[in-house]
Amino acid sequence: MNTFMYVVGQSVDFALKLDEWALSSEEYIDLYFNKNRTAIRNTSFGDCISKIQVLSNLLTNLEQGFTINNFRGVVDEREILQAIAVIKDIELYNEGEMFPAIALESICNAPWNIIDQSQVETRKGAATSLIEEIVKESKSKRFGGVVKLFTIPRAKPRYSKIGFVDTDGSGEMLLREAVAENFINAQQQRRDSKIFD
Amino acid sequence: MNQIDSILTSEQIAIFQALDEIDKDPCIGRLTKEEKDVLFDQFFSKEAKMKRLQRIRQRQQALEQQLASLLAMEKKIVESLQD
Repeated sequence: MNTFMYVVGQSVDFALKLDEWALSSEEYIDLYFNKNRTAIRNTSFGDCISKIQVLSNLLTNLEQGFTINNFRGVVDEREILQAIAVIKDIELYNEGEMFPAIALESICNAPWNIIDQSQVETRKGAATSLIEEIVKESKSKRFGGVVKLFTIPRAKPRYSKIGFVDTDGSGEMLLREAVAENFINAQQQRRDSKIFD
Repeated sequence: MNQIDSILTSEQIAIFQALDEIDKDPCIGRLTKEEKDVLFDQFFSKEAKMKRLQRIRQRQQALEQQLASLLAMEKKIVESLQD
């Protein structure tokens, strides 16, 4: 698996990077889908395009409560941005007790990591490396590595396997302090392994 | 397969498979299908493209100003060497 560097907020021009992703996405539609946008609607690539737009909107629309400081990303060895996430610090309650956590609001892979046709920029492992870094950030903030995310029903089993628990059936899943380290270790083992490379 | 791979348990392999699937499609976020459709159309709109163009021109202008400043510095140094 590839290794990535974690980038935070103002250290990256996320708006410009999202514009680069948008241009690449349009090139792929022209090249691989014969300029037919309809063909990619409701596919993983189509969802990636919707997410590029929502992240661009978040950066320009301050009333949604997010700023550049909520943005996180991972870059590869050539400093190409490979995945972007939006996070915020939150407080969770369990049996009357409050504990802090990071909410992972959205994550978006670079378009070259989504399309079937491999590109020179394609790097495997970006999304999970970004989640891993967010878990580490939660630890460094003394939140115990606790991370909350919201996923769709078909993806729940994947997150259950890596330690997230379903909180209320809504799609909200939580990585608790007791298993946060296991997730980080699994990623390290995967990095050391070559089994899916 | 390396030495580490030969001692992986079936549980570890299942975790690796789950991580692999997440990498392909993280599926994180609260967007409904309707919201995704609206954003998808917005992505291709003239308004969104104009905003991208505006951002790129702003960056370009900043770089041009930086380049002009560097050229002025270079000119001064060359002139001082000739004095």
